[in-house]
Amino acid sequence: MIEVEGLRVVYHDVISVLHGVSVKLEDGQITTLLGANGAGKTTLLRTLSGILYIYDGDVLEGSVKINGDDVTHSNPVVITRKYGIVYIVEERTIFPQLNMMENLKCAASSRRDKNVQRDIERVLDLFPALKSRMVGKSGYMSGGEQQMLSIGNALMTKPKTLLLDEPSLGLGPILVREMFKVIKRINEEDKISMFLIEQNAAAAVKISHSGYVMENGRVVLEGTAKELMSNEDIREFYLGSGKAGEKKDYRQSKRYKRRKRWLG
Amino acid sequence: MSRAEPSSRPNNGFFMEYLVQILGSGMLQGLVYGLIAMSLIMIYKSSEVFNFAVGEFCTVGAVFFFMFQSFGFPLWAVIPAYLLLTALFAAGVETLIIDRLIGRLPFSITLVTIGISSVMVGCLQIFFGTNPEPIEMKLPDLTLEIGSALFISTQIWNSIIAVLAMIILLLFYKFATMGILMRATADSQVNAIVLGINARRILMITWAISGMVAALGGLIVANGSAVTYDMGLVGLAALPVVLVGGLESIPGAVIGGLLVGVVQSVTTFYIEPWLNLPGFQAISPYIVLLIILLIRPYGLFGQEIIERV
Repeated sequence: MIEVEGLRVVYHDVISVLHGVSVKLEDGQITTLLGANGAGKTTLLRTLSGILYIYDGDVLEGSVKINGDDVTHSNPVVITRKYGIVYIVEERTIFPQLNMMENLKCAASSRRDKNVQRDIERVLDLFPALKSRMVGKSGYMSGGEQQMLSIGNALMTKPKTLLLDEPSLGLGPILVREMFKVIKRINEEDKISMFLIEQNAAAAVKISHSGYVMENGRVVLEGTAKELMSNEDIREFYLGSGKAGEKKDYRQSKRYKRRKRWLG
Repeated sequence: MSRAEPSSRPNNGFFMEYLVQILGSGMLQGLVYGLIAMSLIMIYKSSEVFNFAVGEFCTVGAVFFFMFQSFGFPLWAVIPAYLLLTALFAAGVETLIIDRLIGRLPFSITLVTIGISSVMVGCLQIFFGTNPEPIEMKLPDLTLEIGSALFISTQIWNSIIAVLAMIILLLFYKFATMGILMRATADSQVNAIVLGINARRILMITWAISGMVAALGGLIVANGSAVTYDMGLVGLAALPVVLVGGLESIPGAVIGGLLVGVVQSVTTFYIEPWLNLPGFQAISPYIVLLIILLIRPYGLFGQEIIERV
């Protein structure tokens, strides 16, 4: 279980991004994180994976605990190797100049066990489309294939938790549906917990167990997937539907009239 | 036709007769430059830092070789020993200085390498002295005569060593796990780190291997002549090689090295007497460099950023 408590994060010592964020990720579950651009979602994932320092960020207050161990200021390599947390960055976690197999082998290099070949097969089983891209630099793959390889790379490290930063970014509707199916499958079959940032809120909430909504560096709402689905504000601002079943057209919608209740 | 009346056109005969010699020695010299350039490229690839101290690593390598040689060790023991020692030395420099600067701008680290270079020259002066010391590898005589062209044995051995080192390095980068990891980390440090690859250790190993390559370069520069504390200036000769070949390309270093070597020797033998400008060969590579960069800003084999359309 990953527990984040009262996290306050700044960039370049002055730009305050998170103002006391608390999040709890249960083992084996998919947790969604919704929020507009600039809400601090990516910063939260960077903090969890320990790579905040690369972006000149600092944790001023609060802590990140994994099964009780404080890892707030731990080395990202330790966080990946020891605690099995892998952050799949928005820009795709691949090595563009390497071909697909080299990518997977690199990602597996931190492991000591000998089951690498089996996991490569598992990745190809999850993403059959990758089989046709054995040769050639992975930088020339399509966006969808790169995203598949990103997740494949992450799986090669034998993770316990995946932090996914907008896996559907730049993918077509069919691929997005596929992607969410695979994420669900990985969660159920490989028992890997997920922390999922998504703009495609409806699809994300549907596959997840619980979720959080962030705004301006704060968690403004949390609940199980069911609660989120039925929350009127969420429906209005993230799921894009009005009262249940009611169709909307753009002329009628008064987007800025209604105030979000949680900002009060 | 020209053969029928050689005496009336002496210049032409002189030119043709030496062409093989000039191209040949240019290429042999170029391979040495190429090797030193590889040392630079390895570090540039992995951290975008241009290591201005590469020449000093060459010198240190040659000094270590001289040291082991003067202990009286046989050649087969000296070579691995001095390579290992230089690798350790380079790794030490990386750990003590460069590692602390990770995350800073590559340009800042590049400037630091200029400082490292100065300090190393100073230390070499103190600990090694200013006297040239001869080093000699006792290797079978391979002197080669092609027509009137003569390639002396040391030069041939030097290029054999350079070529072997280059091939090993290329294979290492292509197939060895560590080589692939080094390419991966060079590609994206952040991605390497989030996937649990210890990017810092990889960078240290990169410096160690780069130091070894420079040490080999230093050995073949000094081979047959002498080690001097300021022979690190040869590092500057690698500068146009790297830029011509492309900053990220290891094969580019070979081609760039050959090109620069040939251009230099051709300039020395043909253009200098013709223009009556002694020393012109030193700037000739830079003229070629300018022309190439105008046509291909990345260098001949520089890495273009992959952009999907």
